[in-house]
Amino acid sequence: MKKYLKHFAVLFILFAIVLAVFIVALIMKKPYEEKVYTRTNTQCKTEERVFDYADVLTDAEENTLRQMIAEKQDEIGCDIVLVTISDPTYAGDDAMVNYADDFYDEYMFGYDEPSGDGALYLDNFLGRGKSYSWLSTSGRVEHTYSPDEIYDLVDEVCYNVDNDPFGSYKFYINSLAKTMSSNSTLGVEIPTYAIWGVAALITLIYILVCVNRNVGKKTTNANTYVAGGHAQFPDRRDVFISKHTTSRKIQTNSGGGGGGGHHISSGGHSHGGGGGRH
Amino acid sequence: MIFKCKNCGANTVWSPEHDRMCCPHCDSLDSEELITNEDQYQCLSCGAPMEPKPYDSAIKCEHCGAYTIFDERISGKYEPHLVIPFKVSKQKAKEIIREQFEKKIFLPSGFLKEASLDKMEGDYIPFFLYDIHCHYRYSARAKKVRTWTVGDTQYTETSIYQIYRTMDADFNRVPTDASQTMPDNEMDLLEPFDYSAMYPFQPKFMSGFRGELYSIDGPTLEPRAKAKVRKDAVTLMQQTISGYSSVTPECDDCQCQTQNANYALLPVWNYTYTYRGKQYQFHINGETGKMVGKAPMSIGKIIGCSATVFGLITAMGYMMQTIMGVF
Repeated sequence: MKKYLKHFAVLFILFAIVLAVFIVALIMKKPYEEKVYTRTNTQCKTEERVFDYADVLTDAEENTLRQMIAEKQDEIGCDIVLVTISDPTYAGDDAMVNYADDFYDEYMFGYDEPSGDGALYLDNFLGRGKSYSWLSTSGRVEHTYSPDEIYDLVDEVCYNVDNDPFGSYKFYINSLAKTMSSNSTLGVEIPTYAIWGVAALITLIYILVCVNRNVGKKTTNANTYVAGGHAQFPDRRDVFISKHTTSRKIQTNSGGGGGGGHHISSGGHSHGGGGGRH
Repeated sequence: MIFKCKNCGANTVWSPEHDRMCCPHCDSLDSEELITNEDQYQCLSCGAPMEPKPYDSAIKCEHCGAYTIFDERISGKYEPHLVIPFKVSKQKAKEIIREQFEKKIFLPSGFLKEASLDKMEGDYIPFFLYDIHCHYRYSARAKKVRTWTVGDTQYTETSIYQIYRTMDADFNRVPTDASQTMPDNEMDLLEPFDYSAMYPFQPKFMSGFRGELYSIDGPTLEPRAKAKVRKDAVTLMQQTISGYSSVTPECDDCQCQTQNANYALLPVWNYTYTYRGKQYQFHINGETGKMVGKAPMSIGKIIGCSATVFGLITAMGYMMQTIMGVF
């Protein structure tokens, strides 16, 4: 038993430290699930959050989305806005960015303050299966979402938006709410599968390290039994014979790609975002 | 034959601690007296019959514990030329095992118990020590490749060399174990022995230990010794060839000539531990203390320790998950 305790001393100490922090954390703060946000932005010009100008949703679907948004907004402390249009004038990334940012700023969306915490998802349906999508982020949402995460979310939403806009927009609302819930903390969410996976991996490494049962390595070398400690080389020559040089042209490829990131809207407010044509 | 104490009549043995003969009964040093008997298979101390195995040259009497050395098995063609006496005592050998294994958590509980370790035996293992001259001729075609870029053009320069080498080396006293019961690879790992402490054979060094005579003769073992030498020679040769991108051998001729072979007894402590019906053997170089062996593992301990690690890490993971959610 003494050997067992000694063997796991470091692990037990580490466990005790984590346990202590865990207890302190429970005492000091309530879990984030119980965190309640209070709306402080009183200047927002509208209660509406679903602007279906392209008319891709039924009235019932719009109402459902409104109810979902109303619930989620208070859970995460961020405004969630959905806009659909069908306007070739805005066919292009720059036009979509400006439309989305200006829409957000003009209505003074933002849970905490005008142009504050929130996101606006804009779809521009151009017919024949073509459309542009853009997610404009502000405040905490802007700081939480990386460009890659924005592209991932837009990809997921617009994947089936032509066939099932209602399902796609529900996904947008739920996904945003889930991400902002977890990121309302330290910004790190540890998935349960990762806990089990890491524990299994560490245990496996531990077993492999401890299972090393062989004792005794080779401690002789090639010179051990050689008289005088080294061999004699009466002939040791490296004779240069010839040399030749070849050349080849290096093929170069040029390419590029778009990217998302932070920018200032025409209203002077900071926005993040990403999207594109699909 | 047996060595008896002139002072008390007990069996005197070679003492690694004192580096001389010692009587364990009265602690007298160098008080030995050689006693021989025509009936070799009777204990000269208690008279009990002795039944040595075919290759035993010295054994311990099961009745009185005295060590008898069988004259005919250390004389004539079985007379060793050289011997390295034990320098590591049994107590020291036990400490070496304890040091090596005390931190191995998966080890069965009984492995390091005094009762188990007490069964350890000191054996003189038969070896042939070969003096081999090696003459090695080697030649090869080698390439050096250098690459650089100017603008959008990549240049590759290839230089060709012809390598010539001739190597002469005398490999002295290359040990090869001549025991059928000892695993060759583990005996090889016990090397090197310190030959500066090697003496012309004297039977007194065997008193207090089990002895074994060779069961594989010198000519039969010679190819194995030459193979060891050839392997070292190739390594020495390769160490002289460097800086090339590729080497294609054209001549690789390693000639090994045996100059001399000596039959020697080298000291090894052997510890056999039986766990779940399987025997685990450990060997300790009786001169240098180097240890070789593969430890048994307790399945129960593996499961218990792994469960501890997995449980604690998982619990810490869940606590971290909650902590991250709180702050």
